Amino acid sequence: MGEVSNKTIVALLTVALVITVVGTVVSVSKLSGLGGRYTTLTGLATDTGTTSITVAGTAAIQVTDASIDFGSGYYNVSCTTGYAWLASNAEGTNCWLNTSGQVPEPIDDPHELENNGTTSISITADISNFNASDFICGGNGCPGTSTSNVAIRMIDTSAGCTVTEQTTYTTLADDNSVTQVTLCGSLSPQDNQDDIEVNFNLTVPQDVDQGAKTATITYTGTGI
Amino acid sequence: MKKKHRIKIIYFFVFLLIISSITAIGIAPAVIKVDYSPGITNTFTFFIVQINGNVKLEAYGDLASEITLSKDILITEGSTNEVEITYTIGNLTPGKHSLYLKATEIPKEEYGKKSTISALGAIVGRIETYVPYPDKYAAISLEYEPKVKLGDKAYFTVTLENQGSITIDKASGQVKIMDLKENELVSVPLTEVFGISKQNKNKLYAEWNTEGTTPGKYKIKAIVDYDGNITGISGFNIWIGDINLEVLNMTPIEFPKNQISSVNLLVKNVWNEGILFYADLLIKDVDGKILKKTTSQTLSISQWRTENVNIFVDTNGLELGDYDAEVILHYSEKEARKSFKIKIIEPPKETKKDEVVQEPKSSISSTTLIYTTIILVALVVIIYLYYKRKGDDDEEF
Repeated sequence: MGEVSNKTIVALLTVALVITVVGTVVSVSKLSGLGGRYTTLTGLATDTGTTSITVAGTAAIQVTDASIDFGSGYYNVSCTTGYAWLASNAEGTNCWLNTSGQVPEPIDDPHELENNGTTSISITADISNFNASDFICGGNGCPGTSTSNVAIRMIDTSAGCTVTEQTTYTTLADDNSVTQVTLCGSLSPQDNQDDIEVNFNLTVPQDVDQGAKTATITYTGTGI
Repeated sequence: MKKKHRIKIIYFFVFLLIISSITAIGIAPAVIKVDYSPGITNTFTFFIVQINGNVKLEAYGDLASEITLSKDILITEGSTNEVEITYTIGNLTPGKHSLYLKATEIPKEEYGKKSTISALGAIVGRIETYVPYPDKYAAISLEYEPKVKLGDKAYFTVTLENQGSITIDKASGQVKIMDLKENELVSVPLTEVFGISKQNKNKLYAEWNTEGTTPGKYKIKAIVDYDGNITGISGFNIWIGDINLEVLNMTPIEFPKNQISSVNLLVKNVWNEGILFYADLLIKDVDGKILKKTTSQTLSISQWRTENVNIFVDTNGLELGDYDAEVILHYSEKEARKSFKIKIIEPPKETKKDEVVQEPKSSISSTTLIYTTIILVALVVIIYLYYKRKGDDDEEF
């Protein structure tokens, strides 16, 4: 096999770079392109009779900062509450110490949701676990307590939510059940008025097992 | 025997960051409304777009048994997916009937055990069929801004949809403003509308001047009279307020003697505009005499946000013991005050390095990743070409 010249290598690498950059740009802008493409859709229905059909807009939801980092820590045994709580919206913690034995700095690390479509959407939240105990305590639960809890709320950072705002903490999961929470009844698609933040407050019982904990929150947007 | 200080680490809670932290999904169209025509078969196409991972589909609603779905699950990542739905309109009862098509991202497999509270996106498209009621029937909805500045007007919009089979000649009504125990405080009239034909909508408007109202939350209910038929709808609570900041917390509350320490003030903006403010932190003795005063720089806080404000305390000259601290926020010719009990303590003798290690918070954006990747690739190319050329030159010798 003959040697490949430097010019050939440079040409191939240039092509590869262009493909990479263009591919990335196309992927990232896919959703924003959706509105422009489908707002003009006509004749989506294939009639086999006579009926009247109205087609409305696009619905799209984007979640950025999709993971929340609470850091590491443990229940402060000098507390008498029997549980600690941790909040993701800069409200800090209670009866919670980091791995250095200090009260951790408050974190401000919400999930950020955006309506990327062309129509208003309602937004609900569900948790993947069976209950808060399944998430926080693990499969065997917390044997001596029943205080585990995951609470959720939204902050209307862009004043785009016009119907049913869940702005105070409400239970998404308690020790033995889960609840679907409507965070916003109608979030505007208008630029700069289409964002909300979602925060969590976790109640961690003192008898929780050490170990990795996993929860997935599904945010569902429904066109209205 | 000296008693050991026992702190048992009974819980270890780690939430790691995922670098790819953007998730998005869309569906088009969002809503398809089909007139009620029993026996007619229609085929509709929904387009689903996701940029991060695979998607599963789910159809539900009272029309779910009336449709045929072309795909059970979508597995293609990063592409537009078409889903065909064949819908034969059956005999339905009066009212709204819906089919919901839900597309949910499937989380990617993660290797290794780590703790996360992560997020997925899901989006729902909808097919709706209204079956007209045999006589007059109106469905109403209510919209208004949830927060209104004290003294401004609150505006209400009621949308009336004629879901019956006869034209509604006239509709009018009122909006009731109630306290949280649903005692009516004031009622404002809605504008009148005339001649709303079947399947059509019209809007009724009302306004409420909040001047002289006590700040707080109020319940809202709209009552509509259409040709002698009465219907009503309750809304969410409306908040009548004014520019206001609150001091929620101060941490820590123990400070080493003869040191300058950082203090976090937790400040909440409970108004729907950004506010400029600065904070004073006063340390007083038991008689209320101010011993120390620290002032922050001027800061801004966005609407409805809760944020941390850093301020420094100099404890030089203060004796060990308990003191009163007062935080004063100054903004728009107003003040917010909150008092705390603080303690001056002996400074720690030694601080181990690993006690101040903080886990770094990732702030890598997708744009940064793209640029970093391009720069790395370019570097590799340059290095390769350099050594290739050097090798060629060596061979020539």
